[in-house]
Amino acid sequence: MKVTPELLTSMAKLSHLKLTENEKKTYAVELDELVKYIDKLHQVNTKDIKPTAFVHMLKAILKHS
Amino acid sequence: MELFKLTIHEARNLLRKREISSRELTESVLERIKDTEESIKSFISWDSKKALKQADKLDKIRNASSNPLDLPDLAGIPYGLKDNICVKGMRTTCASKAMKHFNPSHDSTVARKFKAQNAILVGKLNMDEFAIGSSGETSAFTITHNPWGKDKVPGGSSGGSAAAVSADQVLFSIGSDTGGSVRQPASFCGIVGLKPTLGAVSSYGLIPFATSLDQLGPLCKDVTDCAIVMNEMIGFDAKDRVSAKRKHPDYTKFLIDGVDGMRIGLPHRWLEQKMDEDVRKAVEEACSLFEKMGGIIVETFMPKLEYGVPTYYLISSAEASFNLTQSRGARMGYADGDFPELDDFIGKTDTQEFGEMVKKRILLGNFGLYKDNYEEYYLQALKVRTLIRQDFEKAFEQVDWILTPTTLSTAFSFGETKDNLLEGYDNDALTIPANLAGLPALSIPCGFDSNGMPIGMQLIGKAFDEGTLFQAAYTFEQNTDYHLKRPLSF
Repeated sequence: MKVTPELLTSMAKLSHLKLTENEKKTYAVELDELVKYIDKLHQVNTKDIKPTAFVHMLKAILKHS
Repeated sequence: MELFKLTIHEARNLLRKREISSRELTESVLERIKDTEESIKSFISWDSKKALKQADKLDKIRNASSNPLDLPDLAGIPYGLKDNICVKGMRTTCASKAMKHFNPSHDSTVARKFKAQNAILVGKLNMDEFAIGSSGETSAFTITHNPWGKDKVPGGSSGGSAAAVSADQVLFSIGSDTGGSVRQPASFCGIVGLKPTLGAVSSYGLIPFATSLDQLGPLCKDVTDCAIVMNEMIGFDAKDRVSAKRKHPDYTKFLIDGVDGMRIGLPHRWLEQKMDEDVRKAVEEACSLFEKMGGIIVETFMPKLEYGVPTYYLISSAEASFNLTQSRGARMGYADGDFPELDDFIGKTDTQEFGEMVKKRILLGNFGLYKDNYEEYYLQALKVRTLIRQDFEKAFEQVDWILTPTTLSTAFSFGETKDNLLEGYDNDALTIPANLAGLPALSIPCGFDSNGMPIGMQLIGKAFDEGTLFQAAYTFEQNTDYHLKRPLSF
């Protein structure tokens, strides 16, 4: 997926970041390069592989004592 | 005697025998900071008065004690904490304008444990903003210099923590390691740094970057000190969601000179990577030394490790984008400017407070979590993480621990990677996999490059098997003198 200035504007809105037009243009180019690098992950066959979000099970901590 | 040069175990023995006082030791350290801080800039804040008050308190306890040999290991020992670790009543900034005025109302578990030992907290150490960075250059307050070469970075994100120990400004420090942030600066500054198994040490009171990867770890002058500090940090904590409930050994019992029969994994794929020749040579020589001492080198095949960096990028950024919403300026007391509307105030304050690198990582994190991208990117990264864990599990069926360089190069010059999202993390390619798999990993000095900059090697162990790493590293130390060298350039 290409990171366009329009997509970056959506991302910035989601992130509550108010970026200048110049920042939007620069960041879009840099993030696009980065996403191309990350696309390397699609070479890996992950069929039937379960995701690892945490290496240990999380416990719910409801109140600090 | 220049007391600031002592290791923890040397200072502890002198304190117990009443040959020195904690005040003398702390005064020596504070004098050292005064003499060197202008060149190194390791600290964000320090409090001499408070440190001396703590030292006097410990001296009183010691003098009143009928048996000072019973003093805890860290009693009276001056140390520093990375500035993302909370201490009640002490400003904790994460090296960010967003946290400039944050004064925690509680102690982190690690600070509480050290207080209970009467260790002397000297100050809070510089870091990359919110621990995002590998060079130490993204701090909003000051730039730390590498004591081995003032034009070189100390590494990151725990750059201040490593530089302070290397320059003898404190006897030990604590950093946090999300993708190599303890081990890489330890390697760059010629000291010992440990990332413990995820869950072994409580992260309560650490301002989080990426919760599934963050782990606090000690930076020390030698392996013995590292084992001593680890003994005092480790343990179950109900306040930490990932804390492991299990018994831990006394790590000083593993300080044995010998690796006879140990099976040492060497992932040849990592050594095939583009790296400094001096680094490659130093690690090959370390391999030969281990072999000479009875270790058995076993080549390990770990094909998915090459996907470690992109996997880390996505997962850590996604977690950071969530965590950093908790640490934004408007919520942490930062406000710079005059805003007529509330929305304008929150939006602009939030934007102004963060550095470039942090903003880019938040954006990347939200890109990965975006509804159209979630499965293709974030979920795929979590699945590749599973495969990386499985690579380690298979390798550990054959070997006791794995040996790699800590970094592909020695410390680089300022400005080489600043604000470049990719270049900085390439240098973390060898440290990231241990975080993704939650495994312990230790960096120790193993040589110097042709410019006299330190080289580190990394020992990765099975989960909760820090003891084996201490034994192997201690053996290496007993047969080399790299850990005894100190920088002279400042």
